[in-house]
Amino acid sequence: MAIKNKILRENITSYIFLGPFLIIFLVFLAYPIFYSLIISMHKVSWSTDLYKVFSDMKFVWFRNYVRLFDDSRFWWSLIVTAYYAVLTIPLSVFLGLLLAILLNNKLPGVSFFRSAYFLPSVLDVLVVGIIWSLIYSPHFGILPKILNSLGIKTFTETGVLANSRTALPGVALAMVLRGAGFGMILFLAAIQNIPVSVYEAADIDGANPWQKLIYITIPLVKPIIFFLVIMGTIASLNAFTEIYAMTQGGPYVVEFMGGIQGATRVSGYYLFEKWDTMQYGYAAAVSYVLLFITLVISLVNAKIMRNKK
Amino acid sequence: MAEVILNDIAKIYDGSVVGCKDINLSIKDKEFCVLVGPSGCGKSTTLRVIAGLEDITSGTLKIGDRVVNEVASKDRDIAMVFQNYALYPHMKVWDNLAFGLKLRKYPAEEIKKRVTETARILEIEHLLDRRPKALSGGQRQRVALGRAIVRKPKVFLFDEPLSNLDAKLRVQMRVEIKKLHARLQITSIYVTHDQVEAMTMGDRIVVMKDGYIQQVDDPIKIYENPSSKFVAGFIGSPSMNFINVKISTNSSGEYFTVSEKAGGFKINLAKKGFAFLTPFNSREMILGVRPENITDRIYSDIKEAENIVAASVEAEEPMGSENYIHLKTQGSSEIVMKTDGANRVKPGDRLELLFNTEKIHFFDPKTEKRIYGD
Repeated sequence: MAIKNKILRENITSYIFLGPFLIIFLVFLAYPIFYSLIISMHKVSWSTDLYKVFSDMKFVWFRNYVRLFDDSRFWWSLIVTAYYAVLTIPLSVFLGLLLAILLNNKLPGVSFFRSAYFLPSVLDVLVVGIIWSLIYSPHFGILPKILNSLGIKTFTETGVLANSRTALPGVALAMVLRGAGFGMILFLAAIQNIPVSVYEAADIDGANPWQKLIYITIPLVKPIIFFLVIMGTIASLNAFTEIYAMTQGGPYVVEFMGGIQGATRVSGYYLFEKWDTMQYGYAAAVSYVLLFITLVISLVNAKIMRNKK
Repeated sequence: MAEVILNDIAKIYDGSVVGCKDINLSIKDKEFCVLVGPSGCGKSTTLRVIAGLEDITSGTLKIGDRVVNEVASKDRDIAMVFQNYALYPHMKVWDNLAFGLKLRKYPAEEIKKRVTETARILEIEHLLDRRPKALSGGQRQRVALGRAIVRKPKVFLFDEPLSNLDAKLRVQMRVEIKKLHARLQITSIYVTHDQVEAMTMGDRIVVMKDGYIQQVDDPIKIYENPSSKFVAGFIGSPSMNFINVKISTNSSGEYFTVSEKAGGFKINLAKKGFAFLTPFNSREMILGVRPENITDRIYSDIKEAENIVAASVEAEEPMGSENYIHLKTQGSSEIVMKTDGANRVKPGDRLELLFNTEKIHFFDPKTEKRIYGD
């Protein structure tokens, strides 16, 4: 009896400590997730009453999802998202690893550079996006100016982001440079975990610096690479802020499946547009499809990871 | 098949910190040479200099008949076994063994032959498909040894390879490494802080301290004729007893009397055999006597009550086959005596001890060098 009481008391104490988080979690995460699933099965029309946004919604089963399959804009946004992932993930993994290898050396000023490269990761995406919009902008932007002085006049009039071919790579570059410091820190930690003697053994075994990188460092930081790929995939599927800050999905000049599409309208931004135009049910359906894709990719990744072990 | 010759080798860090200095050493072909000393004595630095993992500050290093000061590790034709094994954690045992050969572009046939043979010698054939994480400490050590021998190098370097193993395994691997050396006949340089390893494994021992070589000789000679108080104390376990004494000439003039400085025992030594003490007459010295060269008078044939060292028992460490008795003399010198395991005592017991005067040593208290005759 005494023991039972003790366990009960411990449980109650635990819940008291968990309480504040649980309440926030339920109100701001669990409930919205559940409720958006319900909304995704409703047609929510333009509200007549701003205080009761969802007052005139109508249950439509899976019609929102069916509509999605016919929506060329949605398919296009998935293509752009995939392209965005391809642009950002390999480059940021590569850059993070490169920085880590360079900054793993005992050179003067190393700790300054470590902090300097990591700092942009702390800045808000919106801030970084706006700064890069200025860098890319026509006439006064520093990048078109530099390119102009080198004889490349492509961007002088339009800037980088108004050009449908360079808009998404431009956004990707900005985000890769922002995020590389984060990868760098992870890679640095992993590299510094490799015993020096392993490299010395490789020296004696006859490995040159390049072979040490290929046969020792990269295999031993593979978990970090996997982690960055998964995080990068999720970030691409969630990408919104950078597009909002830099291109608003434009330029709207690409032809696809009979419509004019935005060159940088990734799925996350498309979702935002639907929400912004008060098509809440449809937006919720988009978000659920994205969630589903994210889950599938994460599961596949997790499975690959487990097999590797 | 190679000699290793170190000529005035020095490794100085940051312009002033001595890693090792004045290292003159000529390691013969097929020799098993052990560098031994306490931590920070420069033994590992010396080994790493030979391996090419540290630059040489000054001096010349020859492996075979080639000066290798400027030759990269991989081109020195050496192999090294590290204290923490330094296996490639992501590679299977097979690949760990084959890595060096692959990098040197050996044909696949040859690699297979050598890896199989090495695995057979070290009895790790059943482990070839495993990764280092799935191996015990002893097995990892074998793989590390395998990685060294698979390349058939000119010189083996061992950097405290047994320190991470438990005591029993250490003894076992000690013998195995010796057997391996007898079989492969490759010049080996072995670094350890453990004087037992040094004594049992080395053809020759190099005792080091503070970056300098103290003495180089074969194990028994070092044990019997240590060149300094440091070497005498470092080699041998339990270590040699040191007692501060005064030397004087007795009334008859035929003997040197060695008396405990703080007042206690007196030992008479015939001047004939200890002529080398003459310059130290009426001066202080350090007397050194090994624990096994002290006997309890009751076990001795000597009947005269001469040269007796009275002491009382402080503690004993019975080892079964032998017994280490810790004693305090009348002059409060602490000494250890090694006796037969059956000879048990109790704290407080008073013993009358005899020192084997043929096996006692004298050290100059200033230089700590051993003073001896011919």
